[in-house]
Amino acid sequence: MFDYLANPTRFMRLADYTVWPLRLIAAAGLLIGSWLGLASSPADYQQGDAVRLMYVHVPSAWLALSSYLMLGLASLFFIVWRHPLADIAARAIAPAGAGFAFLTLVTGALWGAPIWGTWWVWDGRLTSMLVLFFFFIGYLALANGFDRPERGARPAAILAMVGVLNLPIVKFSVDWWNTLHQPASILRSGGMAIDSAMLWPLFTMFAGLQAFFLLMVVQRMRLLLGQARLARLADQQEAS
Amino acid sequence: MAGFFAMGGYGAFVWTGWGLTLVFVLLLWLHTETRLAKLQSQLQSQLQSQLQSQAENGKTDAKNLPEA
Repeated sequence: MFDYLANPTRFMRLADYTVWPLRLIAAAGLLIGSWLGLASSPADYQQGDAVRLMYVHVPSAWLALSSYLMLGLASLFFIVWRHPLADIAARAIAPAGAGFAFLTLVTGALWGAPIWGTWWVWDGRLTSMLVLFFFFIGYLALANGFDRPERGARPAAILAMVGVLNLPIVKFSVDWWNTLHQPASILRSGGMAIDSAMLWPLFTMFAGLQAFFLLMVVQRMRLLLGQARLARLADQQEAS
Repeated sequence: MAGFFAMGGYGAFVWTGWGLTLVFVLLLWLHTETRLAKLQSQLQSQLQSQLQSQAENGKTDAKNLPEA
């Protein structure tokens, strides 16, 4: 499977088929999810309409975590099997992942201000999420900080793999320490602790943002492969 | 309608959070698609000019230039 996809030509062919379905799912998911989240879903009996921030905060957090896992896996494939496409995949994942980590922090602060009475506390969940954001920024700085991108690929991949250790800390921080952040409501033992009237808007927004994220990864991979091809063509023309 | 925008007194927080998320999505989407479209047209013209110069040098039959 990975060998099959590691061929850039095959990847580009497969990517052509995925772009339009992803565009449609992303647009539909975001439009329907926005309507469900902002207008149709009920207000919370304790938090009132502030709960509507959950529909952007929680999917952003899931995407930040899952995208970092993808970044770590792509970096592992690059380091172990030296697949150049794995490095390109990692470079394509990082900007969108960093964006979602940033959105998680900002929407969390906006939700915390009226409900907790504070924008920020240095508790386990918030601090580990901030560390995750710094790992994304560190990866981007290392991967793009060299004149020749291939020189930054290896140190960036190693940093990405080290950062994977932070993922279980983010996930279990609410169980391991006393935090202001609430414990998990969806991915937890004992089933989901959220009403279906709020679950559907949440899943619809997640589907839209997930499709958008995958679309960005595919398009950025095409962009990076295209830039490499353009550079090769320019070199060939100079040589001839 | 005013009640919808007021969001029960949490309007400033809710709209800022949603606005930032949707603006981020829209800007990243437009930026990526625009850059990709620009790159594809650059690639196409680079390929055309390279094949043209090869044809002029007699390396390729000009009538059989492949599409970029």
